Amino acid sequence: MIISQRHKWMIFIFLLLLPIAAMVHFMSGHLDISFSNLINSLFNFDETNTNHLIAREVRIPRMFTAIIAGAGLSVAGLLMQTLFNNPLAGPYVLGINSGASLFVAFSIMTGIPFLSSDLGIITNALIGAMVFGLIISLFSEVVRSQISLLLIGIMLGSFTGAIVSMLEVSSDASELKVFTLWSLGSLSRIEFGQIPLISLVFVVGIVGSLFLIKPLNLLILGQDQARLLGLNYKRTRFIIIAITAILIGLITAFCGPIAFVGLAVPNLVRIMLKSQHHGLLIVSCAFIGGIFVLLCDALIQAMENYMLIPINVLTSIIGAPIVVLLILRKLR
Amino acid sequence: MIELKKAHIGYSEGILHCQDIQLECGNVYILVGKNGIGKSTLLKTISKQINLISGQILIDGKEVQNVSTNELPKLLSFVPVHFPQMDYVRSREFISAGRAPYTNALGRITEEDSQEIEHAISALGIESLSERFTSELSDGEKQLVAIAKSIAQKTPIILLDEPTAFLDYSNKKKVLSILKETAAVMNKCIVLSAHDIDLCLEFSSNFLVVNADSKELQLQQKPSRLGIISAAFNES
Amino acid sequence: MKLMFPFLAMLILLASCQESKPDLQNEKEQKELAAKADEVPQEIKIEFAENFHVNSIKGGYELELLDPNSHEVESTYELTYDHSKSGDKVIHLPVENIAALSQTSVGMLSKLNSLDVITGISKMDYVHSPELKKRFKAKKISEFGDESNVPIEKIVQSKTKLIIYSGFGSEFEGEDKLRKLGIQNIPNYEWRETHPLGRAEWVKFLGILINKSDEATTLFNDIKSNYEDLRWKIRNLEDHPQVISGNFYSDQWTAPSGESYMAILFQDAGANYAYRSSKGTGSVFLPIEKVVADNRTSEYWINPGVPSKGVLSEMNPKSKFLGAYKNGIYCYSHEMNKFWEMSAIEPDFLLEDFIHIFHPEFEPNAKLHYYKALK
Repeated sequence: MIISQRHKWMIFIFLLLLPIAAMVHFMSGHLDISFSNLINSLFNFDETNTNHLIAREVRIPRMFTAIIAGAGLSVAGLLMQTLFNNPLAGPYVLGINSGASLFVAFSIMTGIPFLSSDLGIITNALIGAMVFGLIISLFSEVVRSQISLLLIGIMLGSFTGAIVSMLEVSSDASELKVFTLWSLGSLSRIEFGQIPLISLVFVVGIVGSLFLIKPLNLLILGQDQARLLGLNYKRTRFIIIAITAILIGLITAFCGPIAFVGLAVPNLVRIMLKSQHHGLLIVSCAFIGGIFVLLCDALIQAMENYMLIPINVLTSIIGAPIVVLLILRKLR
Repeated sequence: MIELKKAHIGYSEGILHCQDIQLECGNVYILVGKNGIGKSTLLKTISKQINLISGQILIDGKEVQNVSTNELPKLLSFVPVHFPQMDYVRSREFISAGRAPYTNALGRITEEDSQEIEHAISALGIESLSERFTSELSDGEKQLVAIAKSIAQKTPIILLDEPTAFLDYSNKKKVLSILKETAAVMNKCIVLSAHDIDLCLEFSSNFLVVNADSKELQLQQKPSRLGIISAAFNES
Repeated sequence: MKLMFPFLAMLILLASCQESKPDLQNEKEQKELAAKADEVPQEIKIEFAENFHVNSIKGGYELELLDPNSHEVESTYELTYDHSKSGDKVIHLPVENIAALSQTSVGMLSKLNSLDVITGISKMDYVHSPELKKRFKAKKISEFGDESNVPIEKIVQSKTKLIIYSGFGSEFEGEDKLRKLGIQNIPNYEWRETHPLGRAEWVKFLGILINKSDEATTLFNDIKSNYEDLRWKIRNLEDHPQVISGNFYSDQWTAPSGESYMAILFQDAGANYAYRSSKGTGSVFLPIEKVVADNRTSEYWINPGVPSKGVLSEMNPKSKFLGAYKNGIYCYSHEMNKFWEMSAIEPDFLLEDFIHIFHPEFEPNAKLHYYKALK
């Protein structure tokens, strides 16, 4: 696979745009807080200074979460699309998010202390994403049609939705509230102190996906050709799903479900780069995904005074039309 | 060299079988038979995509069942009926996928790999296609690119499932002559299935005919047109 | 369908047969009621409630429910002792069998010592009243589930005459079918009132229904004087601690608006409610960072809506930056049922709780009725 001069320029531009988007995000907050406050809150933190506190504990974690969520979901979506050879695949459509949601619902609503701790929720979201990833990949063995696979994903989603509703009915009010809040999706749940741990898990997911560049590039030729070129399909599939589960699990646990990013961004990136080189695609998805969610959230913050928009809603409002456009493009 | 020894081939029950047959390097073998008789199945069995029911298939003296997933792509390459539908893959990138069995875990293309890719491109004379997206190529051009990928893969054996199916007359001729030349010049054993018996007779004298009645695969060397048709299609 | 009508007719017939039995043992009482059908009852004065009017008319009352936004009449009911009248919105007095699907109406009926008129409630899990629990064990009342989807046959079987529902959001289902079966319904819109005493005043509405108007008026007057006494007592307190209420939902803070029920209680209890100047009677939505910046020194945080600090910090880690986080959070979550059942009719107790929370020096060892510090 070939990286052209044009590709190098584009990556360079993405690299520049990310910090710009991050600054736009920082400035779109409600209060007037200067950059010097931002710097001071990091290196010279004074807890009694409200501006420092807000920069460090509210804005930085939120900015960080937006980047991680956008990048992680987009990379996970890219992996799913290549694995299932389907541009409309994505963690949300295939029901992998629902798997994570179901397991998180279990962990919150059973009320077992370990299960409902932070680590418990991450673990559960991860296991849920993994289990549902494996289920959908088993189905993909049987159904070769792209549409059928998406329908099965949607069915999995409705099925888990129903189970989650059943859990909701039988759980007590406060557990229900925690879960309902979680399921709205939020970029504000991460604390400053959690950033290192989350970064670590995120880096594991992204670096893991970089090791998949060769198998992913082969999968573009279709499963059979990839095998004939020496790809161990089952093992590769397992690793791809495991990495997707790490990324989706992490993000779902901390932010709740966020729709359409994983579906729309990889498609946009492919159109922009006009390449199937997965090294390029992974890096670009990470950047564009981060920029996309940063800008969405900046918009949310800018409109905070006028209306309340959960992040999940805004990404759907912007993402769904993109997906429709893609389908129309395909049909033409 | 491919050796088929009392092989029974098919899905649940054997649909196609043969006595001992040897396919040598340097030749192009044309596989003919009725629709649905198992030509694709035979090619897929030789390439280990489907398991053999009984008997043996040997490639360079090694039993196909025992060849590892890593080893097989160095021995044998396969060109399916349909060219994969892909957006944004340039011909050169597609051809370079033929080097996957030789590259490291990260897929780094070495100097040697690049040379093989360029060699494959120039062997087929498709320099002008190499920077274009495969999705924009005509069917004939796609077939040439697919063959170039197999050549870049540097395998002694190339299997092609109906490579002439979607081509016009001149492209059929072009593909067949390129394959004939490749087999002779690079000393490869090429097996392809086809329905264009008359045309193929111009290019090869080695036919693998599946008998319509007995479903037996027979190697006919220097056959007559009539001999092939009567055996394969039960007509005289 | 053809089979349905004879079946319904039979049911109605059965229901009316039972009605004709001499339910009122006392003939004198019966005569009194008959007399009421011909006279115009004493006017009932409404002082605080803004969303209903009662006009005395011959044989009973005309009840007007008002739209809380436009203050225009939304619907009119005739509550009458004249049982010869009939119509969609005609309710025969006194009502003896009530399905109290609105939780607050259970509380009001229990304050009127009339729990015996209740034939059923929505769900026993939400009930506070020990007496009602006893009656449920004795199989004297049934569970009818959520008001949006009531089991019609079960209601008919319980001989219910009137369903009182809360009317939050969804429409009351099966209204027409129930009317055909002789079962009326009416909403208890007490929750639309923004003044705490306005809410409590809806007890007068229940009093009319069960022929206990005088008791209801006396009860309300006691509540009112308690409430006003409490306000009078703290009028000179200098200290007005800052209070915040609500919680983070998704990425925003949802708090009661400045003109809402809770905001009025906070002000009446001598606190300085952080968002008292916001308009409206519903909720305000605020950016997280504004709430953090505004409330670093807030002393009290009422109604975070969670049972423990553990859940609170799990739900939203930003909570701990609010001044009240350490030891100023109070909630009723340990008495959830009691709160939803009784607080509407006990605004004086609520006010007392808030006064004791905001001004601990006022009566140091006071016991709180509803609230508890969150641990």
